[in-house]
Order: sequence, then structure tokens, then C-alpha cells
Amino acid sequence: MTMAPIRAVGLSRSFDDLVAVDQIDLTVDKGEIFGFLGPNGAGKSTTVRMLTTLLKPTAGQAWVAGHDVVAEAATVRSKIGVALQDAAIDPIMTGTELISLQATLHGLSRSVGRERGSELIERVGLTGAADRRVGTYSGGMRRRLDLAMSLIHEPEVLFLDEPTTGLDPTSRQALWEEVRRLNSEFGTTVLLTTQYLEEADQLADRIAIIDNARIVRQGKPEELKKGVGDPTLRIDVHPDVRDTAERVLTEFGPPRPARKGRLAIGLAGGATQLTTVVRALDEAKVVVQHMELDEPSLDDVFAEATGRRLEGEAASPEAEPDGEAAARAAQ
Amino acid sequence: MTEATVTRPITGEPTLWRSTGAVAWRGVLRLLRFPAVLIQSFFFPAFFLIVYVGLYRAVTELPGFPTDNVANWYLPFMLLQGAAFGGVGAGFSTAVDIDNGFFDRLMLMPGNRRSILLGAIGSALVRSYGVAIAVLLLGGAVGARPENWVGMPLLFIAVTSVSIIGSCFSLGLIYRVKDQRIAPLFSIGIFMVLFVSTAQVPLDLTTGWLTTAAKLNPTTQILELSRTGFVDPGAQWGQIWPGLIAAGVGMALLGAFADRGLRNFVP
Repeated sequence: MTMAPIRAVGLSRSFDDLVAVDQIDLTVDKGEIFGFLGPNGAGKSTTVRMLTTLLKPTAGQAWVAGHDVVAEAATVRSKIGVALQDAAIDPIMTGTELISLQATLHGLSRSVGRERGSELIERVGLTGAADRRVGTYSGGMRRRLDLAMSLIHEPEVLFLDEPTTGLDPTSRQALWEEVRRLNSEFGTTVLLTTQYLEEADQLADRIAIIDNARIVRQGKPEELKKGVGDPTLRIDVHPDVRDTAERVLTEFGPPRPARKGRLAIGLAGGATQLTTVVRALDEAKVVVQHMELDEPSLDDVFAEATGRRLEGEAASPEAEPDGEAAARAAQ
Repeated sequence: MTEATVTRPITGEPTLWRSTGAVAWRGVLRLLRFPAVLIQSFFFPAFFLIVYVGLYRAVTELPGFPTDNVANWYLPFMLLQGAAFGGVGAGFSTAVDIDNGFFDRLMLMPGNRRSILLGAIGSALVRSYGVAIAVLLLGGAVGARPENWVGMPLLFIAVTSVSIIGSCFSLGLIYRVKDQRIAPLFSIGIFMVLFVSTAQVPLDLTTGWLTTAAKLNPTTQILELSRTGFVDPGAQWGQIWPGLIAAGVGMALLGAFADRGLRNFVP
């Protein structure tokens, strides 16, 4: 039996007293796009750094492309492509120079490197800009070049660490399409970390939700959403009648986390109960300012698992830094 | 994103020397694109050379001074200073790479990661040679003239070893600290080691603590080696071998320091 392209058992990483990743068990099957979803500081990047041999686990074990990430680190690196957060690309060099450097570092001959490099540059739509210094590229172009560089040696497993963070919607769509194409045409196994619900929902065959260093849910997005159960009813009311509204709503389902000032419940019975709820609120003299009923989303899955909403947290300036960064800053 | 032909399977076996060459070439390319970094390495040796030759002409009249040409005395020291500053440039560049994440890309190479170290040393050597040639030309302009040509290859060895020692020192530090804020220590360390030697006057003319420090400092031996072609009595084996040993041991120790730092880079 062949081993899954990515497998982790009890994978953990601590930085002094800070536990950045805690006992993670993970299996990503061949040809799968696996989404690692969580807020900033949850442990996503630390996990990717361990799986890509840039960080040693403090406990547990992991295998990538069938090789132990600690004992066979060099072999693992020859099988993987990695596009790290922030697209670490030297701004003084041109796209062609960078891709040629990457080809040499992966042991490709000059001619193969040149051929493969120009194929990839064309593929990610950078032919016109290939001989320009990367410092003149837009964020989207840098990400596409980063992706091209990570594919130079046709990796079996591709790691994308927050590949679309900071990109405009068009660039984001283009990158998603490329990832899908890589996966469908070449069967490349992809593990991508993201803090965007939509990205995980659109791209991933399966996802793991990570929060506070631990995986709190894992499975196919549809199954996870189904697991949440009833759709979420959200209402906005005047603060004066908030308590009354809350009392009325609890008769129709359990409360769910909601952003400040809003009330939310899991509406038992779904849309069929909507008129009854409205009637009950009316009888209690509650004027509803806004009402919406949503089918369960990944945010609901996250909320159900953690008691918090992910939506909005990503952009929050108060979001805590990643474990490793926090540890470095603390030193 | 457009369609493109893909050749499969892609195979390759990275070798230490090809990877080293690629890393070194990138360093040289950055140097060509951003030559201002050379000015910094060149400025201090050039400034000191001009000032010392202008101010300290009378020092050669001291009894026992091995040359009557002050430029001949100071030029080798300034060449080593330029080589050292060129060398520590490897640490500065690596600090920038660590800070902007490019170093992670290098660490992801499947081959021997030692090529990151060797490539950095290689590009530092190019930088040091560039500075040394400029200082050498300046030395010629202010009156330095070789006493013998046997000393020229020895000068080359001294410049090369000091460049390697400087780069390994700075790389060893940055691999351990991983923070740009350590960078000023590269120059300070090199500056102190270079100056607490026979940089100014021969050992016989030094006094007090400086005599002891200069005797213990292996830089003194490398400096003497570099002066072989510029002072009287010229190429003497007794003057050469301590310098060669100091250069060899210095490179070996600092090389091990840097290598160990790189091996332990992944926390």
C-alpha cells in the first residue's frame, strides 16, 4: 500500500512556552486539494514550515511524499513545491533569472531549466514581464511567479501558504484557476493554507479547521456544513428590545455566535419556521431592523467548533501573529 | 494564464558545485545591479590610505621601520581591510534575505544546503577582489611600489583568506541570530581585530597592551604575509609560514563556525 502524500501524526511545535501546533493528525490523499483553514496565529504556517522541512517538530512525526520530514528532509524537498506567505522574491532580479536560479537549485540542466522556465512563465501569463525586475511587479504577478517557481521541478506535492492574501479579486480568481488546473491535469496534491472561507470552500476537496494550534474539525466542506445542522437566522433589533428578542428567539433554536449587536440562532425547521418567528417577534413588540436566513457556511462550522466567527477576523488588526513570529518577537 | 507544453517527467540531480555557482552568481548579480554596496567597502580603506599616507610620512624614519615608503606600509593593511569589509558583506546580504524571506527559498533547495554558505563566500570573494583592485590602484596613485613580485601571490592569499574569514564570521553570526540588528557587529568585530595588530607600526615599535594583543592576534601574521612584497627584507620564509598557518587556521575555524550555524539554522 502506498503512503498518502502528506501524513502527520501527533505533530507538535512549541516555542519555549508557546504551543504553536498541538498534536495535529492529518492525512492528505493523492491528487487532493486540501485546505487548511484558520485565523491568523492559529498554527497554519507553522504546520506548513514543519511539513516543508523549514522547521523541526518538537513532537510527533510527519511524512511527505512518503518520506520522513526530519530524517529524509532533502528527499522531501526534492518532491515538493512551496510558495510561502508573502511571495519571498528578490526584487532586484528579473522573473527569468529567478526561475533559472530555482531550476539550477533543483538540479535541472541549463537547457531543461530554460525550456521549463519559459513554459511556466507563459503558463502563468508573465511572458511580457519576464525580463523585468520583480520589484516592478504587482502583488498578483509576484504570486504567479512564485507559483511558477514552485512548479519548476514538477513537484508531487505543492504547498501554498496563504497564496491569495492581499490579492485583488481578479488575481485571486486567476490563481485559483491555475491551482485547479494543476490538480486536474497533473494530479498534483495541493495543501493550501488560507484564512478565507470562500477560498477553502471553492478550492478544497477536504479541509481542516485549525484554531489555537489544534485541528477542531476536518472533512469535506459539504459534510462539515451539513454537520452544523439548521440554517442560521440572524436579526438586528434596537438595543432596547434586544433582551426580549433574545428570549423569543431561544424558543426556536440554540443561539449561535454573531457579530456585535446582532442575534443569531440555529433555526430548527429552517425556512418553514420563518413566518412563525416573525409572528412571535411581532407579538412581543419587537421591531426587526434586519433579518437574514443563511444555509450553514464554513463560518458556521468554525463558529460551532470554536465559539467565534472567522469572517471579519482575518482583516482584524488585533489578530494575533503566527506562533513562530510571536516566538521570534518574544526573543 | 495560458496553455503551455509541459515536458514530463522533469528530473534533476542537484550538485553542490552547480548550486554553489548559482547562489554565488545571484550575489554577483545583485552587486552589479546595486554597486553602491561596493562604495561602502571601498570608502574606509581608501580614506584611511589617503589620510595615513598624507599624515604619517615621518613614521618611516623611526629606527627599524622596514620601508621608507609609507604607502608601501599602509597599502597591504588597507587591502585587507577592504577584503574584510567585502567579506562581511555576505553577512549583510544574508541578513536581508532572512528578513525578506528569500532565505527560506534557498533553504528549500533539495541538494546540499552547504552551497548556500559556499555561494555566499564566493560572491563575497568577488566583492573583496573588486574592492582590493580599486584600493590597489589607489595605492599605486599615492606612491606604493612593490619591492618584489614574489610577494604578490602572497598578498592575493592574504586578501582571499581575510575575505573568507570575514564572510564566515558574519555568516556564522547571522545564521545563529537570524536578525538584521546583529549586522553592525560584523564591522565592529572586523574593525577591532584588524586594528589591534601591527596595522600602524611594526611589532618592535608597539608598546604596552598593544604589543601583547598584536602578538596574540593572528591578524598580525596575515598582515605580515601581505606585506612581504612591500617591505624590506622581502620574501623570507620565516615571515611567510606563520601567516599561511594563521590564514589556514582562521579559515578553518571560522568556516566551521559558519557551517555549524547553517546546519543548525532550522530550529
